[in-house]
Amino acid sequence: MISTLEILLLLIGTATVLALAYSSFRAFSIRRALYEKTYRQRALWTGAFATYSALEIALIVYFPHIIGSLAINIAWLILGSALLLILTIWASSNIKVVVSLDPYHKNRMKWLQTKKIVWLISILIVAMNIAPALYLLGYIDYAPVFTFINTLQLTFFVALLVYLISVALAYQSVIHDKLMKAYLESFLFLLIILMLNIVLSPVSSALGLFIGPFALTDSLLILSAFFLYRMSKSLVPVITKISL
Amino acid sequence: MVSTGIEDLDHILEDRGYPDRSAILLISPPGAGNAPLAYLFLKYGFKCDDTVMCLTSKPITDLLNDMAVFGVNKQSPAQYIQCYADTSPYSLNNLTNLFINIKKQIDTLAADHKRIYIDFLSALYMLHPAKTVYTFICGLIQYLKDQGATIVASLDEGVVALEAQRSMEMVFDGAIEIKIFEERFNIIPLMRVKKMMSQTPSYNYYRLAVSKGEIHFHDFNT
Repeated sequence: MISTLEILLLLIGTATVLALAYSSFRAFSIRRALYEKTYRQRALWTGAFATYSALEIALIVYFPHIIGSLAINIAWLILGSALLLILTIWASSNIKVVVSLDPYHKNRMKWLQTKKIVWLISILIVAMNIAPALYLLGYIDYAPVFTFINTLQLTFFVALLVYLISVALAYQSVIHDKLMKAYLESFLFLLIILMLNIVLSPVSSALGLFIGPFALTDSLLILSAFFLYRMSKSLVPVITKISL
Repeated sequence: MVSTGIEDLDHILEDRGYPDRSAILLISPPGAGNAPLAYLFLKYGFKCDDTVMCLTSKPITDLLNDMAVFGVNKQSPAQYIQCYADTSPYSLNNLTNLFINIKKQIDTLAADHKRIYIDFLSALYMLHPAKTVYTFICGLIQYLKDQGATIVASLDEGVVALEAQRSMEMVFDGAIEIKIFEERFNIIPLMRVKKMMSQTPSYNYYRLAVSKGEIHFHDFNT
């Protein structure tokens, strides 16, 4: 018997997945309409991130009973690694756009140097994810090293997000384009939501804060869908009517 | 008449090109394709042995790489002047100095046909009040035209306030506009010749296709 709460959650989840799918489609369509590489890449990675989020939420909403199975745990690890890479490339494409608009051509917050380090650590953490995968497959025993990996991953993720927020804020002051400002604002809020989700998820699980199969922090993902939708709308000014 | 460097656009324009010694404004959302129109205009200039000059707020290596996509040889003889908001003689911060130094540079060029591309209009609006930019651009455009130049300048929609964009359109002899048109789930770039000196306004929109270093325009009917 399905409860009213579960139906409501399913409806909210479906609306979120649809909003994300639309954001993704729109970002990819705008990419095709643009010429310049930096802007095309920004649209591409906005679409990629929206696609990733849509897949993740669809998995939580439609297949909650299989979470915990071996295959899903492995898939979850792959998705987690993909998230880090997509986020790094996406942030980099955003910063490239704002750098190109900066008439001072300043290397604010030393982004051009730091991004190499960011990339290196991202790849390192993704490579480290092979250890939990080997554990899940039964090749190695649980070891304290996992605690270290998880702590490192969490610390790096939070540090990366804080750094990206600082860079985006530094460039925000030189950008005059209202649409670009709206995009950057949404980007910042989205990063904050991701950060909260990552920090609060273990707390939420430890305290058993669940509504049906959903962790309470999953509700933050609904907010992220709103910001991604706003970003797909702020990629470029469009006209919907032909006027003289 | 000065060829635009794009066969389809030459056919769209009544005189088969931009008017000689005119200034043309290319307006588009950022990244939507105003720069390629300018690159092909310059490329044709190299082909005709015209004198070519770029006044850019981009790093010159980036500009050359972008132009190379459209078949412009990086070794082509042209004057590239980088205009940043820095302390160089071509600083966008000091418009009087900028004008004097551009003038000096123009005086060194041969007196025959000149093709000039300016891409720092949007950057100027970030640094100065609209009135100051208007006065500076009016003076610069008039001087360049007097020196026998045909000028194309790009402006990013959205970066500049609408009133400022309209005032720029008044200063220039022609304005070509690129818009991203969204109809249901279809998003396409469109182009129209909004204004062109000594030509009848047509208001027709054309579908813009940029591929393999070429630009094509196709009739667009809503």
